[in-house]
Amino acid sequence: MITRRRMIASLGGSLLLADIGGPALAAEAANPELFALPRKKQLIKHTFRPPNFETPLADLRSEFTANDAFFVRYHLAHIPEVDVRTWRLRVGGDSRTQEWSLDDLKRGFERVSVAAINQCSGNRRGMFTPRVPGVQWQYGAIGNATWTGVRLRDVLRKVGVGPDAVEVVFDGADTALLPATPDFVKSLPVERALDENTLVAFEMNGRPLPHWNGAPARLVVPGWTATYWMKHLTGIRIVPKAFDGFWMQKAYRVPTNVFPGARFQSQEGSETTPITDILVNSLVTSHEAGARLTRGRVELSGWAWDNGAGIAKVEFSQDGGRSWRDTTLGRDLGRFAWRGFNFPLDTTKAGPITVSVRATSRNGTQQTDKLTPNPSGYHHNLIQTLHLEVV
Amino acid sequence: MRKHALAFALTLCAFAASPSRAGEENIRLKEGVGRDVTTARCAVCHSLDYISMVAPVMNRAAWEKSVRKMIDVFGAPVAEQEVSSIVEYLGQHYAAPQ
Repeated sequence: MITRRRMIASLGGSLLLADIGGPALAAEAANPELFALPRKKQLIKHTFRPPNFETPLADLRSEFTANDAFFVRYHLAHIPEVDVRTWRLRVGGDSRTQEWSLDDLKRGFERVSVAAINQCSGNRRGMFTPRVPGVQWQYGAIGNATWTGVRLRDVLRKVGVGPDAVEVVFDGADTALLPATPDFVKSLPVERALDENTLVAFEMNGRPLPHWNGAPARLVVPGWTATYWMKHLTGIRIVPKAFDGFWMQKAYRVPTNVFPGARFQSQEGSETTPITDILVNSLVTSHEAGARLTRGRVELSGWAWDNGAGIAKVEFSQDGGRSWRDTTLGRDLGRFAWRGFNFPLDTTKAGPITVSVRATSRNGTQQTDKLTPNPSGYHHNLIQTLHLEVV
Repeated sequence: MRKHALAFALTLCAFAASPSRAGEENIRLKEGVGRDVTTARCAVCHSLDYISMVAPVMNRAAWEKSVRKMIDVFGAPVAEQEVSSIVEYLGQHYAAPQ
């Protein structure tokens, strides 16, 4: 398949890096504005309403991202505080429609947990050159958490998944302020909905989901970008044809046959197709760009992640990508979670140091040295290059 | 005229109904002709920081497209005679340096 060929082509291609740090650095927000939403700590504010807040680098250093530091992303401004006592999940299937309260869900189905990163499709959009419109995310529209809930497939089987099922459609309690604005409704291919890892989750890191991350229950689709992880879940429908809502057919789409990942065939067009899998990526969290390093030896560390295939290796280069050395991988938190890496830097000589880091997935893909432009600025997984200074 | 009044009413509703307005009260768009109508219509659905956030990627033509999308796709209550005032204002005050 084309995606496979592209992977191999990119692996065999030139690995020399241009000075990608320059434009990327220039695009980074000079003075991020910090603001604390109710029951969140201070996060980097992009917009107030609908709220879009990213996690500062300092809060991305722990294996599991704290609930009160986890990024917040909404499309529509009416976000009700859902009352768990009256909340119901309404699920329409082939044979019937059924409603569950939160207690019904907890009592009626096997409880399962999965550790998984949750990453916005547009994470790092603000670092595309040329720049593209949309929320100008830097590095922090991502977090890693343990999600606990019930398997979506167990719930769907209670209402009947017929042989003609094509997609499963999800709606949440948040709505627009105007009736004419398209409601945020998303769908999944039925196979992905029935995947054992796709959950209706009501806990995050062992605590009830925070309001801003989808209380009382949200969809968890490990390996796929966060656009599918519907928050404040209220309605689920199994449908026999492609769902034609705005947020599927006009938004969250990438050029067809350009990026690796699962196909979403019922929604695929000749020009564009829905974004699906998270691309292989990594982030140094121990140091920010421009950090001053002490003389001697300094340890750099961070996270690498992919679509759930698992990280094969993370390498670093100090010569602009001519040669690469392996880093040491940290413990495995689960294939959908991020994987730690660390490596020592020789800092005996004062002066500037440039370090690039790239991750390779077991699925054969590797971080790119040249971004694939796309109108919405999705899938930014450029090899990170840090300019540091030994003092 | 009725559409104008409706837009104004919706502006008030939006401010009253939105549960997450904290923080945005102090945002003021730059002085200029068209600032008031731009503030009134855009803030129905979103905080005004959306405008400054995307300014570095915008120009007059891009704002025209964006305002049309807000009306045609998202149902923004903007009267036809207001469109050019909003587009001119945004193109002049919130665009990338040429």
